[in-house]
Amino acid sequence: MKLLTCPMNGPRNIDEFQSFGPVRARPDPNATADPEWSRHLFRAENRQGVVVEWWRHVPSNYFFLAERDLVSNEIIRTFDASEPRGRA
Amino acid sequence: MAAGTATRIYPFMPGGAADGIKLVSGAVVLSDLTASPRFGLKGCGSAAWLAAQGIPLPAVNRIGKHHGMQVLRLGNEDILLLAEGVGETLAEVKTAWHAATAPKGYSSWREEGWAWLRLSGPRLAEAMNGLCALDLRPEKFGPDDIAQTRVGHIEAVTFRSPAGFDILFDITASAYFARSVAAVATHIDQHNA
Amino acid sequence: MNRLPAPFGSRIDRSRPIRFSFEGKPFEGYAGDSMASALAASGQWVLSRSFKYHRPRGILSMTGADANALVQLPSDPNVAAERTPISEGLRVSAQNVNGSLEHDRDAVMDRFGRFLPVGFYYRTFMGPRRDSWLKFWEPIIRRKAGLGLVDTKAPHRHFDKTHLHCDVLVVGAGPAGLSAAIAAAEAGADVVLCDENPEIGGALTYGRYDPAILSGLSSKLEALPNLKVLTGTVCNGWYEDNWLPLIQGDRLHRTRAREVILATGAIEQPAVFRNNDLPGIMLGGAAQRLIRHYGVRPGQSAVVLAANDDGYRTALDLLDAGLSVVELVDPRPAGVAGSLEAELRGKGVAIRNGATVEAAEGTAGNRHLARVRVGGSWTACDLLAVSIGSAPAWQLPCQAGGKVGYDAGMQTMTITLPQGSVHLAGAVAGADDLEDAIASGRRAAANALSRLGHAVAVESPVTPKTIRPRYVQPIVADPKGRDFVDFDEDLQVKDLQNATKEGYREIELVKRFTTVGMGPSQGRHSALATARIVAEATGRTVGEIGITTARPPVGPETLGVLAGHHEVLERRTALHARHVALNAAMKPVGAWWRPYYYGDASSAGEAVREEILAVREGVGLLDVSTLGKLEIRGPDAGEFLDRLYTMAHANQPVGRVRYCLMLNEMGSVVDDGVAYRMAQDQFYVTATTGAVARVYADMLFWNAEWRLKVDVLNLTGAFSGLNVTGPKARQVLGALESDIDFSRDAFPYLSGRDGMVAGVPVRVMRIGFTGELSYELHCPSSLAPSLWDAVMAAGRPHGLRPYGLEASRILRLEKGHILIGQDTDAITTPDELGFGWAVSKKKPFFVGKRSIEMRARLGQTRKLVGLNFPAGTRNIPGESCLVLRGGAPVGQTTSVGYSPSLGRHIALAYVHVDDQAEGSRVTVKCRNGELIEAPVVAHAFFDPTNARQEI
Repeated sequence: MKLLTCPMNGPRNIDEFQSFGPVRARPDPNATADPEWSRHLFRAENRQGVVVEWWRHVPSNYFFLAERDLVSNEIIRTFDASEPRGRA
Repeated sequence: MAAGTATRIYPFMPGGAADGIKLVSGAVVLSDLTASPRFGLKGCGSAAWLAAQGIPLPAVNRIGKHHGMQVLRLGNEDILLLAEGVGETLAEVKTAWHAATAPKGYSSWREEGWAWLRLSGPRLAEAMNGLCALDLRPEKFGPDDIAQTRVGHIEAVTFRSPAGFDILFDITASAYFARSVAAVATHIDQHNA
Repeated sequence: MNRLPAPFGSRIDRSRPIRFSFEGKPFEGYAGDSMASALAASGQWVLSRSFKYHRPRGILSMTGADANALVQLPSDPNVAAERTPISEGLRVSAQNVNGSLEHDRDAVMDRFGRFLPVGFYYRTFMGPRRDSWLKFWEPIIRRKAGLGLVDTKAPHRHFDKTHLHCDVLVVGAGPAGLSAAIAAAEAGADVVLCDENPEIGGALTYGRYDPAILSGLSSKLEALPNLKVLTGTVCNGWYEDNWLPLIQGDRLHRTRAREVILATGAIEQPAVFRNNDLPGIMLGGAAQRLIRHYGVRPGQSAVVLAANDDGYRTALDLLDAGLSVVELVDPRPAGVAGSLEAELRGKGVAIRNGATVEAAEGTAGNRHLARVRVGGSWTACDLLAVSIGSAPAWQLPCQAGGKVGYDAGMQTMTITLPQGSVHLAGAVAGADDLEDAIASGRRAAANALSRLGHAVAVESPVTPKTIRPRYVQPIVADPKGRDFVDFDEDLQVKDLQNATKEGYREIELVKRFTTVGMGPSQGRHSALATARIVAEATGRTVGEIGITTARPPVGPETLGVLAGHHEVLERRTALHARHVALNAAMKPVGAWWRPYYYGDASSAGEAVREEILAVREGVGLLDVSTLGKLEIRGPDAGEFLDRLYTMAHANQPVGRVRYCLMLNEMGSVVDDGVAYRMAQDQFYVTATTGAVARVYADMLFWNAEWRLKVDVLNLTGAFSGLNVTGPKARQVLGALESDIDFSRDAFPYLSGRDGMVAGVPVRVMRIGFTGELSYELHCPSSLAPSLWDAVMAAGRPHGLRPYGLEASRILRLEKGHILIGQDTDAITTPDELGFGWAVSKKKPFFVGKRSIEMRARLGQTRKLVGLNFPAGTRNIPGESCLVLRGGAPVGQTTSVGYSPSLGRHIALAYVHVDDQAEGSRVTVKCRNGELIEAPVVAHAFFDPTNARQEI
């Protein structure tokens, strides 16, 4: 089983976590036309490369961010949501 | 809300939700501390208020001591005081908290929401290995460490006590948890038979 | 008897005879015997019939990896006879036989082999009809083929799972694994060493080695308390981040290792020639295992086919065991085996170089080997021991990212692993000489230790002592066939050659077309030969062909091991014992146990009716503790709820209760509940029982995104809820000692109060799921039994009845209240429920707002309405029956029930939006297909003006 390192709880089996999907830009609902809004709702990008994802450590209910390579499935780093999200 | 005068009933007491479910004893021993005093604060202001009372706060997922109480830091603003045998000390803290003005955090109601069981016995390590996926070898998990993890397939907080491991978990799952520990104890007996 | 005296037979205890039966015949062996060894000791060599041609088969490897030696136990199919110990009274039978093992009616298949060409399934059984495969062919083939039988009445066995953590896990306790484990443990690492055999030592226990080597390693091992040895334990897979299942009998150790050393050894390969599957033809290692482990003489008169030193050592072992070795056949030129050759010649064994075994012939019915053909002439023998080469045990290394290659110069299959936390040692890494293996174990340990931060001298790479290239036996198809490449699947050389002619040139396609490597041995004895045949047939190298992907599990595993033991999760409310004492029929609802009704099963209907009438006419009490209870605290609590729910909460006055409706981003209804504002910065919010876990997680997620000054607490278990409902509810509460004024004016509908009731601190909300005057009392769970007792006592003069889930379900249906998840689905919008009133038009934002606006523009197609079935309606539809319009489905019924208050059946249903008006008639298709018409009525069947709940 894969390990995921929680910034608060340390490395844990990934079945202690719940994924909340990639961090996405949220378009201004009042300034977005219906087709773009539908796209935002239903179209997942899923491009090759590195994504920043929300994860929840379920036993402690701690939410944090993880950078993950979608090709190799390598988790590059995990960090608290208060830290800068851009890649170094 | 002032403290009530009615009788409190916890799961393993007569009339409690897990009444009739036996706590295993033998090579693995499970004992119930749910009725023991504890008090938790959570939310903005909790840490500052407790610190202002002179209660030293450990780092997150570590345990501190204060006047015989254990101070469990479950999050930046999520602190639980366990007062096994020192209920009066805790009562003073609670009285002060109720009388204080905000910001002082909010009650986390852990004394109502979490059962508090203690696992011990000669086959303790084997039992914990059956219940929990974490590496709890003494050199990896010390007496002041807290693990927020799964024990017996449910979310739980666990840490070492002199006798073994203390486990805090959803009080409504008390009967299930006691059965799970009993099953693990049975398997240990069979495996070593 | 084929028993040899001690010291042969390290595994058996001659003082403990054990009786068992095979195919109904009695046999005797010793404690420690495997089924195969005990049978061989008594001269029973045939263990099974082959998969396709029903040919007699026996011991091949003695490792338990072959289909040849799988047997049936009463409650266990496909048991490895070569590895499983006998026990007193054990009843063993053969598998895949029609009749008996001795007289298998399907043995005739061997003569009709040409009608069963490879891939014939795909061609032959397609017709004549579309369902011919399922209806006709498949059942026949199931009976003919397949392995053991599952006993669906097998007695219960205890399986369990546990967790194991270590610094270094060493898989395989042969010389390489032992030296690796000892080196790692001596440096202070926490080491686990596992081996599938009952003892440590690997080849040292059955090979021709100085016993002092193993005893030396053993004594070092015993002196290391930080080295845990698990024998009889199979490492059945490698998973990400060094997560490995170790199966020890009925226990599964889910193991996490920081470093892993795979010393999995090598797999001896059979030779390919006509009739190479006859019982009596076995690998050299099998003969040695029979002799040393079990003290069983593997035959009387042996021929040895040897292309390496191990073959010569086997021949010497056979001599020691009293066999006559007729001849050793070595395809290599004379002189390559050095001193071993001289030793053997010195004992009078004839060695024939430059020749090989070309074919074999069996006794009647091919029940045992009779003779072998070498250089065109036949030699009689009852044992052929084959030692012509091996393949590294690639399964675990490949799962861990290893790549299989072929060293054309050395003529060996190789495995390379990327630098990392998994290391190879011993024969699997090509070091099959004993000293090389021990050195390679130490080196792997040093690499692992240095990665763990130990200061260790890194040992120099091992240069294998046996530097000469290995001999590779050519594979030539015998014109008469029966030259088996894959014993499990009865595949011959020509089957594989034909597959390449059909165009299946890639190894993964060859596997799927021919089924090569799909049997129980998973290519252990066929993968290398297959790669060579395909390489030859397609003009490529073995390295280019490779082997098929190795995936877990490495070997077969019992489903019980995977399942382990699981207690069923159950949650109980604090009032559980109170319900049980009142003779409640407790039923599981999700994980929760809830009272369905109170009373005996024989009068269930009556009990439910009385409970409903008690609420409608008197007063009832329901345990609502399973409701989700969330506390939202902080200066931004109102703003937070404004964003999450459709109604306005920021402006909700303290002391008021508001309905709350939650949408997802798509605008679909996902939850509802009520929010009681207890203070400016504190809301007590309920959520539906089934949704609270998700609602709570979603709240935390949105809070992480929005970063408002809010703390969310899940109080579902900490608080219990009691709903006191019915026209007399106020009288009951008024009779209790309390600081709360329950009068209509002081405590109006949709308001909340906190205070004390009967000495219990409570949060009380006036809401009405039943449609009657209702007070929902929430209190800390440890005090819930006291509060329950007090309410029951106060209610007694008023006829208060506790009621269960079934009555509650009907009560809410009579009132037309929806249940999220039952009356809503994944696309339900508030408009479809007629809940426009619950959606704020003023708020600039809430989750789902943008989407319901967009969906409104798409046009509404359906509406949830009430349906009325007049008394006497013959056919009442069930839940989820289709609502039709012009013959086409437009919706479905969601809740159906009999209302005792109204004396007829009622339902909630989605109907076409144009049929939503009261009085419209819609068509519902009942379960039996009958179409019935029902009139549309308002949601609230009972008390539509809400007069009762607001009194």
